[in-house]
Amino acid sequence: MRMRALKGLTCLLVMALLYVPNHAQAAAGGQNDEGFVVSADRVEGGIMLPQVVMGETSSAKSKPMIRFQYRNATLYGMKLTKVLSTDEGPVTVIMQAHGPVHMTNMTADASAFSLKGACLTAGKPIPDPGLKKVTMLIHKMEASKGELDRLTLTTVKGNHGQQRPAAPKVLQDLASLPLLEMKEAVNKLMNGHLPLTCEDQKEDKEKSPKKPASPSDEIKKALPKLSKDPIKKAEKKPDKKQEKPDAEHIVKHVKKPLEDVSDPVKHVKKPLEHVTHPVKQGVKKEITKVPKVIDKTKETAKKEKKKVKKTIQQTKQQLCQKAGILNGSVPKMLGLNFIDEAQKEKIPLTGLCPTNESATKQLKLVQSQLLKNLHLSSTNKDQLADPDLLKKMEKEMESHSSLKLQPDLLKPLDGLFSY
Amino acid sequence: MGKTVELKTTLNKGNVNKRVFWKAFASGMVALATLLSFMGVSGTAYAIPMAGVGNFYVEFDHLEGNGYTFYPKMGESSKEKSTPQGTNLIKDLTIDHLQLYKDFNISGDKWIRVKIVASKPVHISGLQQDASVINADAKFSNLALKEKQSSDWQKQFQQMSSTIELNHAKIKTHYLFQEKVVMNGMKVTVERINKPAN
Repeated sequence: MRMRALKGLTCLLVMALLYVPNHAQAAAGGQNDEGFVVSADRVEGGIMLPQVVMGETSSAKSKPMIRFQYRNATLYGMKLTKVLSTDEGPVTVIMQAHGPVHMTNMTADASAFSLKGACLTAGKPIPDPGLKKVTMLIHKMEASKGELDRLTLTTVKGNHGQQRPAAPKVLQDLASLPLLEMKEAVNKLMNGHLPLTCEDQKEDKEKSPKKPASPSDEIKKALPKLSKDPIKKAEKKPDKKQEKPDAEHIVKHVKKPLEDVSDPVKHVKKPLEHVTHPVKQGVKKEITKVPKVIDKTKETAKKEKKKVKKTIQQTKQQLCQKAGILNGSVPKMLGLNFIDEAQKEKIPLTGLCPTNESATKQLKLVQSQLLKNLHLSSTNKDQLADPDLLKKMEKEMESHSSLKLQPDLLKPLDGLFSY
Repeated sequence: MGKTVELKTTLNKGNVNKRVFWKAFASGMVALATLLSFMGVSGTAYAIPMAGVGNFYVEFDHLEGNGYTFYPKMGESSKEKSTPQGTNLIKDLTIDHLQLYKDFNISGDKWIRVKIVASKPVHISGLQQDASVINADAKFSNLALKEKQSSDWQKQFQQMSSTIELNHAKIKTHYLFQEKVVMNGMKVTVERINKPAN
């Protein structure tokens, strides 16, 4: 009796061992077959809107994807391939248009892609991006109208799929998060209009005077904080570093007063940047080479904290006075100083001069004008102190010698302007 | 309502393997006879399958239909028991200048083509067409191509549209089924042809 039971048990074990690897293999195969690859030599069209969304695949109910949205798009050299794993081996569905493909109101949800011709920013429309050599791993594609000239639709044996593109760093980072945090991070990306591609364009960044953060840096900045405690992030608790400034922090605070001494408004910003960089890296040679301004910085850095704070207060008062007398435009340097002050204090521009009503009104105009120029007019009130947003404002301010302020900006637009 | 059967049997004696010819010819005619028997006098037929004759071609100038779905499948062809195909379902459609034909190799390089032609628009309801190749200029409205989470591979990828329009189409078909077909101006011909390219 025991022998029979033992034999039965052995049989079951053998069957289980035989079954498990096959099952694993099937699952692994399923992962590789996910999505269908659509390629096009070039895509022309009107405005393209990239968004971050959660979509369904053949193996997962929810996965982060980039949604490409076009009102009208024409694809040249379009080819779609879908590889399916069957009991009799792989089968490929090939859809190829030898003529142009016109799509109206097209959306394509892609978990991976490669393209040339545009850098993508979440939720920021790109007018006629003129994409070239596009390859996307798509999971859903919709269009209110689709015209495919000289279409060939074939179903063949074997794996004839196109090379699958790699997922952008942003989506890889998102995919590594638990579902809830992933959704939070997606919202953060969309609301912050953060960059999604062009990580490898280091050359361009090096050329520019202020190096903007790469997309992966941006998402990294957002993600670890979210993964630790997204709610705390939302509450915007003050940074401990701010409460107890260390030597480096003091140097940062020193920047302002020094510039004020040399030239209260116009020459404040530029010399400061030169100063902080060498101090951070600890290059003493550089300091000795740079003349007066650095000497002043070093001296001031040694001064007591109280004195620094006092000077800052004085600077702030001066800034508020200047803000109060703005008349329809703000000079570049003054605008940059406002933003710089807001960045340091981690407050919105409108919070710089709480006791000065006329200054607050003018700062509100400056803020609204910058947001309008950045197409971020719908930005939530709580996000106006966001470091990324202030950085964008700074960049926008730098592009104007003098920013014109339109007084009608303070009128409510669709109920969105309510600071 | 004319249904004409023209048999152009202008083959030279002695060059044809009669046994092979009649075998191939008979199989084609059986398929045609099945179709014709369904058609009846009115030109309307119900639940028409066309299968078991191997692959055949469907050509037309223009097709307009609604309720279109495509999904991949494995089905029988003239050469293999199981070969990859795509199932095309269309709820209602109208076809202009429809031609269905099947080529038979009767001996060596001798070929004949059995062809059904409709000179008037053909109206079909509940069409299922299993095809391995479709060539056409295509237009769709409310087009959606999407994959779905499923353990059944045939359900993992689908193409759907509320309407479909095909122009200048040539479809390599393996199976055809119509719930209802109205085919007026039908003509069946058998003609000798050179070796087909496809």
